[in-house]
Amino acid sequence: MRATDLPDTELLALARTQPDVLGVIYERHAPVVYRYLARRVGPAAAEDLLAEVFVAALGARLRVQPHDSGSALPWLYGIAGNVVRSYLRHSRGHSLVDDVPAVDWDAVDARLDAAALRGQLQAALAALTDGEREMLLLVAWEGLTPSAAAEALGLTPVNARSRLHRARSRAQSVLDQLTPAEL
Amino acid sequence: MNLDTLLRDSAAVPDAAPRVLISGRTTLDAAITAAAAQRVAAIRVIRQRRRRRLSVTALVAAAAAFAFVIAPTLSLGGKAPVSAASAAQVMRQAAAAAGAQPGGWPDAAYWHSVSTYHQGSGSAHQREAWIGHTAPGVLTDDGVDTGFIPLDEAVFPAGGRGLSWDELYALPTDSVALESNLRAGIGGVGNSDDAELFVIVGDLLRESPASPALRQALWEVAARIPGVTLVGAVTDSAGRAGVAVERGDQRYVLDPNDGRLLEESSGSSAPAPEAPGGTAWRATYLEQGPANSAPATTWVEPTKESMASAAKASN
Repeated sequence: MRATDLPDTELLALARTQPDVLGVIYERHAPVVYRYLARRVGPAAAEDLLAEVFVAALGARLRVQPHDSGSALPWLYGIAGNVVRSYLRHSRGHSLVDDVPAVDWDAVDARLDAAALRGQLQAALAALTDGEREMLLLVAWEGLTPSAAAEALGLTPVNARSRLHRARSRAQSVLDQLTPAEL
Repeated sequence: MNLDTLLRDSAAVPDAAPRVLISGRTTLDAAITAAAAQRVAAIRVIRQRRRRRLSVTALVAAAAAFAFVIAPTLSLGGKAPVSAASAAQVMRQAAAAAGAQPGGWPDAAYWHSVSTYHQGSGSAHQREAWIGHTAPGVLTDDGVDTGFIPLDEAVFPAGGRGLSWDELYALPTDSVALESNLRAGIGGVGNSDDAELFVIVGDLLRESPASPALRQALWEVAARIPGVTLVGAVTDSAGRAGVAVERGDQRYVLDPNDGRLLEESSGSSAPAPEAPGGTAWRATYLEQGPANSAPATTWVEPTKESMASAAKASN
């Protein structure tokens, strides 16, 4: 059987001993990982970071086990999140590890048509912890199921669901304060 | 404003242009090539070595043929190579001695082995494997990773085939039948059928539960392979006395008194583009035997922190 026919779980197992298998994983997932990056840092920076995510995955391949979901994507998102944080920390000249949200809000605002909406999402998500924000965005932006997002973030599915619920209600309540609910 | 609307509207991004995907793949491929060069010290040392022989070494084959330098710690004992007939004699003696050893492990749960190996210009690595008969195995190899590394259940390479534990035990132990069986399975792997057959003998002796009868037959097969020369008495890197035989750049150090494969080496110390430290490789087999159990692997689910440090380590 050719490597291109193998499911992700087997590719990840193979990749420990056969690094060239990462090429197959790249062909399969690079477009989706690119969109993840573009949503967080904008298309131009995403171009630069795309290869970085997979090179980091190459280095991390010995330490990962295939996920229950059968997809390499949660693992790749986890690595991509770290690559984004590292990039933003560097580009903003931050030295503090903890106060860097893994999103470039200028890139997000550029995608919202109405000027009135700009800043609103940032305000809503600023009320969340880093982990809650990641959870919410993995589900809302990347379309992950809560349990797949849990894998990306190293959480149990139960913890992930409660974190998602907390994130949604807190973010919505911030939005409600900004703009009274439309009738 | 509704949160879901805001999230949906902000989720739309353009797809990656083909140029972006191609450029990313090019960068990744360069990193894979670099990792593959390091990987010569990785989990399936034997298979990688063979692939390297087919690919990387082919590029420098001419140089390797002349530039092969014996690992410095391999003492030659001052004997010059003598005739091929004497290599055959030594291997036949090893065959008889191997066949006289006790044992046979068709039903063992694991095969446990301890070895050290050395690759290119790198330092020596410790390797300990528990190869599972029907269960997954475990490996420690400080050239690969610091913890326990899970392995699939046993596969013993034999030319173009991979043999399970039970298939290993189904091999004929008559050396003529064994040779024709092994030759039929080569399937074009290796530089030539004779060269590959010599490699297979090592493949099935090292880190393998081969029975004394199979070990005897393997050395008898090796004794008939054309082109194997006697290097002479040597001391291996663990300080044990043995006799070295070689064919091309593949060398085995054996103990003719019990038929054990003590050490092997291959490759060239000449730098190659993919292996700046050279492709010289040496493995020393310290002990092997059956085991009832293997250490439990404790794979930790990756967390953001562990992946961050892994990502950092690769930068």
